[in-house]
Amino acid sequence: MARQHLLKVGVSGVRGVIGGFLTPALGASYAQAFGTYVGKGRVVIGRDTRTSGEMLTHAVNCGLLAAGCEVIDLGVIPTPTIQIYIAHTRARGGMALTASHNPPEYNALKLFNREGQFFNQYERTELLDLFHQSDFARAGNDEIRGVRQDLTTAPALHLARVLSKVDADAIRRRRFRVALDGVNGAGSELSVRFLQGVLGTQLEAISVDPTKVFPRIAEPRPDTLTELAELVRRSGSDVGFGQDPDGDRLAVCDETGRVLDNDDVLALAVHRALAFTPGDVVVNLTTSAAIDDIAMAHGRKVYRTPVGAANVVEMMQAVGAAIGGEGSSGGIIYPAVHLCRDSYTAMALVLDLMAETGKTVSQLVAELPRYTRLSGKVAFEHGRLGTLMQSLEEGFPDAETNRMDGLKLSWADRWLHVRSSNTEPLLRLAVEARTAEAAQALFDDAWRQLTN
Amino acid sequence: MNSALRISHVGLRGIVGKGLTATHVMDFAAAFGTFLEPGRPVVLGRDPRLSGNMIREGVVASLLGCGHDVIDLGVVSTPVVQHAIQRLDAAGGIAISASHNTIDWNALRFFGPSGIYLNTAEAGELLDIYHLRRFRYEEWNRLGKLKVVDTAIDAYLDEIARVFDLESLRPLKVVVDCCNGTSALILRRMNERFGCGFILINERVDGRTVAHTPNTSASIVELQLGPLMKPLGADAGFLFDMDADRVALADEQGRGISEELILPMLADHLLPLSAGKLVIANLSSTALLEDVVARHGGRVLRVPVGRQAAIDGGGDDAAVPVCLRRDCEHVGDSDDDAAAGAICERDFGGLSATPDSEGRDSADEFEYSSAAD
Repeated sequence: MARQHLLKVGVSGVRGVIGGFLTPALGASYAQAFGTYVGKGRVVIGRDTRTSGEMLTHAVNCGLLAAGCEVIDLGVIPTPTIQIYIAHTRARGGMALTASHNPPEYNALKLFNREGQFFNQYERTELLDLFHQSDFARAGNDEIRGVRQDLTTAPALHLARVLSKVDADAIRRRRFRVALDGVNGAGSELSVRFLQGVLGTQLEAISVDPTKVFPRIAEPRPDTLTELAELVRRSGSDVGFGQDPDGDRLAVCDETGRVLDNDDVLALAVHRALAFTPGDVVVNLTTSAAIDDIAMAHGRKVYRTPVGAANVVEMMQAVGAAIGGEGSSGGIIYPAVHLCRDSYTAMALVLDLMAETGKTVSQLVAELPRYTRLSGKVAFEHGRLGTLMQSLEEGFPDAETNRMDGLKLSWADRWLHVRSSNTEPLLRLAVEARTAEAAQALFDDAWRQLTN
Repeated sequence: MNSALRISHVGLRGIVGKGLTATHVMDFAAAFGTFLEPGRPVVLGRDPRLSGNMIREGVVASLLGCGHDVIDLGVVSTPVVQHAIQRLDAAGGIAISASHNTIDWNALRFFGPSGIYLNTAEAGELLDIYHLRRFRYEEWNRLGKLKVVDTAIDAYLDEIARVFDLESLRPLKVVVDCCNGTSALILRRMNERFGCGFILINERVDGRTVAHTPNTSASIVELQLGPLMKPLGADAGFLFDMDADRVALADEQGRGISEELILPMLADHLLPLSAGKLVIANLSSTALLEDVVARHGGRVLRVPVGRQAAIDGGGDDAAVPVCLRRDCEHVGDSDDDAAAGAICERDFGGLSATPDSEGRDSADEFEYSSAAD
């Protein structure tokens, strides 16, 4: 039986179930370690709409103030908006109080450095050591600062950044009909303001009440967005957008009510961004080869990284990429706005592409390089992982191998990628090929090898 | 010694950063959240010390985490917190204040549903929960909510104004040393609302600087208020500590009136007006009290030194503080209530506080805190 991860304190921060696991005291201690690490100065915080967000905000405030930091509280706000504000205001760093797409009983702390980017691996490791050592900065009475709320600057700043990178007038002229599912998340109000108020779309919105609980599974995927698809069909919308609770991921639904594969959303954004942005493309190992085709058409290179937004961002920074992301998770990272995963930038790029080409979403997707992708999860017996990977590699001697993150085996027209979950004894298998038959054959072949 | 922390039946107290940490605060508040019956809110207030910003956040987080709604009154005196607990029908309350200690100290002080300090048995239970560290954290959909209320001082003054004729104080010339604490906020409001005309010194409230140690001893009264009384032609002088639960007096000559004498003065004034005739004081305070109380046909109950003993001795229906409380039940209970105490010195109204046990306790604690510096 898989162990349930009710609390995880690790290099990517703290994540856990509210109640006895992620306690207020733990949140405060972690924040105090963070404050000690980034130093006395301004630290920016914000949160998604989870019921535990208020409690956790006060816990984090306590830890940061105890370390001598001044807290700028942005309230309920999307994660990318926090990141942009951090960089713009030259704060010491910041934290988003969000468990992103995890269920409502979870919460977590996401950590940002002074550039408003996720902590890199060195920063993460150093912070974790500091947390375990419990040797925190402890401010005395005359060094203790306060909490200042700023609810207006950051959203305006974020939208202005996004708008400066697309042809907003062209989008407005089209008066698009847009459907939105905000999952009652942190972006609920900002998304309505952005789509309706700023971009002048005719908006049909559901689940945009930040005081209510998540009405669906929080991760925006084809199987969780049936209500959005229904809304698109009913309202005759040109496009539908589905967000996650902290507004960094985006799923897109075409005008027929079909929710796109997240790899295709990334492909559309890459296609649009490369048209006017210099630089290469960075994606993770599991992202579609469609990206390679599009990049090649623009004369650009594609860099591959291990799975995880932080890995993609680090590589993007190193190579000065034009755009990047992770297909499977619905994350688009466009550094011209900010080096972070951002659903607003993704919405803007999709609408910009629609306005520029005059084509429908389904037409745009039909023009993308066609691949069939399949994925599955295989439970494995603990201790057999090495043997499994090795025999898989030996089973496909003609493939090009990449062991950067699990095992990726590539051929000219197809690939497979196997990696173990960070949280459960599960292998994730993903395959892609030019045709449905080839994809199914490769999937079955790999599945057989992993399960016999 | 440059670090200090005391965890005891009186609560949690220490030098912030050097002894008292965020973890202590959060664990103690979680223990209180576990100790209190669920279902009713918890009232919170703090004195202006900057460390109160940090402690307030930790206390709020722990109480919300234990499923209690929190009503935060902001920077107010400790008696304002105590009054609000009853008025708001709360499960209890916490005052974040190191009272008369130096500015680098802070403390958590715990009150039950009637706004009175926990008695020894209750405080012992709280301490056991703290040490056991098995707190009753609620699940994600049963957490508390925070409400911020900024009208608590006015509500408190409304209650006092129902018992005392505050406007009759106008002819008196009164000088008050606020020790840069919460009394400044209350007394300014009394000047605005009732035209009291109190002359305030050391009234800047920034939580960082204090003009002098916020101690209510006769020597500080004579240093601070002594030189002002005659030149100003003042009738009386008062000096409060940071959270305005203690008060000291200066007479019109500029002499500090011993804390020893405050309780006999109040007893002499209030016993004729009270139904109850029992006065509680500690073993170490003046025998003058017996003489005064006997004159009114009352009785003195002597208890060990310390606020705790006086509270335990008080019970529900005895003692001058208690019989006085009976007189003014409609204003809510409060066993030490300096602003009201200051008034009844002259107004001869009826609510009292600052029993002598407090005065002695104050002296003891001050010695220990200065030794710790």
